[in-house]
Amino acid sequence: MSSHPPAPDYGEPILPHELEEVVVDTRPIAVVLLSRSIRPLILVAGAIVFAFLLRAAPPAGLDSNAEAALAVFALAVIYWITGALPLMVTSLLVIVLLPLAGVMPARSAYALFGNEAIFFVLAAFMLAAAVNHRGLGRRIALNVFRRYGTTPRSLIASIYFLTGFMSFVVPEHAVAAMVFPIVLDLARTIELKPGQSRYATAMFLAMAWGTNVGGIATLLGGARAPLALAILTESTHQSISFTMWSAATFPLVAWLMIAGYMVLSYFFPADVASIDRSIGELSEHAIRLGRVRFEEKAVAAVLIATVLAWLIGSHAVGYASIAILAVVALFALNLLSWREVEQYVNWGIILMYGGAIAVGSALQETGAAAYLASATLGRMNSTVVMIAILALAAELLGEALSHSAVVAALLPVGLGLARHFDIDARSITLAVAIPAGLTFILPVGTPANALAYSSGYLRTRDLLIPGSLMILSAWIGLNMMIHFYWPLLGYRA
Amino acid sequence: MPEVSADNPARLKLALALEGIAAKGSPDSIELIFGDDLFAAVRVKQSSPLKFIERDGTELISGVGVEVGVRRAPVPEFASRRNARGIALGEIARVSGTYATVVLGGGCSLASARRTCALCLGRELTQSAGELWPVAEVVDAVRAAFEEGDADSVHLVLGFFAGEDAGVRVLIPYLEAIHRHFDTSICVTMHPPADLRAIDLAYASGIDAVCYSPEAADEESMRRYFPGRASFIGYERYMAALKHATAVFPSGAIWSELLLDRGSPDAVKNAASRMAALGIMPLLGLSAPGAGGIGLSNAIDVVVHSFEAVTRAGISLNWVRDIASTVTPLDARHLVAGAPQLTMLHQLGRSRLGAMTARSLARMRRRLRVRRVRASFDSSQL
Repeated sequence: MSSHPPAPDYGEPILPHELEEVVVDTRPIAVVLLSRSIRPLILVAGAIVFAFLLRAAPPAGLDSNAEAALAVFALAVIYWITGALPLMVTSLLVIVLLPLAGVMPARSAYALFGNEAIFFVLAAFMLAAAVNHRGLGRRIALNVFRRYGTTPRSLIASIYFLTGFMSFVVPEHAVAAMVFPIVLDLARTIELKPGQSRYATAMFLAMAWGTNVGGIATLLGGARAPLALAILTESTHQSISFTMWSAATFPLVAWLMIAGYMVLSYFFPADVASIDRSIGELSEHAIRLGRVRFEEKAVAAVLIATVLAWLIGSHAVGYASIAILAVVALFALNLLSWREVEQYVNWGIILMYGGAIAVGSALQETGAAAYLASATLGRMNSTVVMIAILALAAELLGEALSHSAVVAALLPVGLGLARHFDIDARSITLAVAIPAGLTFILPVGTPANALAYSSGYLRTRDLLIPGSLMILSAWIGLNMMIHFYWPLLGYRA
Repeated sequence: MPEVSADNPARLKLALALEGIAAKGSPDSIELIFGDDLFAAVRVKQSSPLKFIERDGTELISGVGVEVGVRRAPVPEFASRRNARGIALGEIARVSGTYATVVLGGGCSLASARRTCALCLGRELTQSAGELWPVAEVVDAVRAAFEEGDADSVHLVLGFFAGEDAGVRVLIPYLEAIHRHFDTSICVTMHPPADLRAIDLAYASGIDAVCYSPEAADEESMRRYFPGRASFIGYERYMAALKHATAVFPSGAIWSELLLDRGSPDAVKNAASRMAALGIMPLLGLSAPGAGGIGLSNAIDVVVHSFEAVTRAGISLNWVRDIASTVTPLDARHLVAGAPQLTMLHQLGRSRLGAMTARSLARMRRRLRVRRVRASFDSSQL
């Protein structure tokens, strides 16, 4: 028993993640100055590259229109990857530059904002807003943790598998946002020390990895998948249905779910004897929620009906149309207000997608994508190695960059390679979009990881080996699927 | 009788800190100015051998062999003015040195009123943090102090707040308002936060210099003299916060007060050395005149030692000018060789141009070093 008197309480404690709004760069001032001057340099460099490509004589096999499309793409990739401008602002710039450079008429460029994928993402945000605001996600998480998370190991498993399964139907950032406060409360209740407790690392990692792995399972987990699908459709007029996308990812998701849990168990053994206090905490949370309300049941019903409709009828009706009908149902049943939508929808990402889809379409239509593909990986003799390299590039870039930016930058090249090597463009789309959504080590790229790091319990150095193992597992698993499983679905590599 | 030479203001400031001053009709403390650049807030103790007298319009200190001319800081005119709620502005802000000092409140009075409180003694803290001055009233009081011309910086004092951030979030509206209305520097005296990221937030929000004061020279002294603080906060947290702050704040802007009567001179010297080696500016004070029985020569020895430790560590002295309530290493310019150059730098720092340059550099440093994570999070997208 502690001899210390109890600390006085003057109010609600501040959650660590709320404090994580500012970071002071403590590097030597010269380094800070240099890093701060990089952004304007990148902006200028991008403009120079754009101007150079636009004015230079086109190489053999490329007309001036294609070269102009390439110039816009180069500028966009530089700004997307470096973050010199916010992603969505770069996309708006793309929409302006495509007509100015003579690649396509302004009307066509702006019309690409009306893409089905954009409305699908918008509707998915709205569905997630309903799940979040009505408290359904939180209730599910609490009930699962209470029922199954009774021992240290089973609690980790509960967090990992629940976040994984929830990310099948709710965007992964929404799942992370719902589960994170619960996990944080649990870690604090068990009095786990930030930066010291291996078990706490496992808890937050289970949340981040679970959402990441689950997020690749369907078109709903992350908006990069609809983006990839839109680029595929605009560029090749092919598509992948909701069901087929899920079928194509299922074995990899199952493999990573198992591999992830094994890695978590091996590298982060439970260093707590009991989590009884956390069970008490969960019960208190559940009591505060009260009994299941009509709104929660109704949201659950709409969500289940929507998923069923996607599985059965997305090919005929269109996956965006189903999502929008679901949103209309939510409004009709008074389960969602426009104010909640405005709070929850990331309008920036909607804008970002318009530009990414437009530039991808421009590259395909002008033949610039094919040229780019032959100039990069086109000289390779093996399509196996080529796809493996493309997938690895997507996976590694996805660790450090926005997943959407990775898809926007790599997929047009990939589709060019598909045409060059006569590979099914749908295989390439999957081979880029799936690994781009996996982040196992770094905090950037996906909000789930950013939230986990904001808890203060994760240190990058602890994640290097286990995270690298997961990257390797994912890459091997993906390549196996590409060459042995996808052909069974009709997607040849 | 203290061994004071009349022509050395630093020795006189130390002697006054040790002995207090007898002054007729004065409240708890008076503020004296030696020459035009050394301020001393002196507690009144009528039994002190040092006496403040006024003769023929001249202000003097007697009891040091010869009578020494001194200037008593006038009571500011604004102090008696009342705001819309009828509160005297002097209750909200007072001028000390060149600082407009605002004691915002919270459950501790050691830093502000030199009284050991329930927090220090470890009694159960049942009182609430109390109502803090409204931001608008603080701004009005600071404006009045600035307009009168004696103050050009702001010193905020925050008592004990439970919670991970130790009250940093409470400060943010004040910091924003002060920076919005005045081109000034803000230093804050508060207790250390448990969550070190709150220190980053404090700097990002506009605090230019921060003071976390364990007061005790070491962990054992803290347990002995301030058992409550040792329990509620702990010496370790003070040192962790100070160490973290050295990576966040500019050199010389992380202060920590050590009390000369809360540890042996050697223990205080060791603490000052340890702090300076970490990049922390040790400030020296006393809990009360006559407390602890430390002699002037010992006190001078500690101050000189602190100065040497600070200069050896290359810590900037620009941030600790014109502090009246404690003895700073900068005050040692009157006690050590090489002082003329130091005094010239001090005068340059005090000039209008020097102060403006310092504030501009501080702003630029903050702009360069602070990144908003929210922006990174948003840009990570999906």
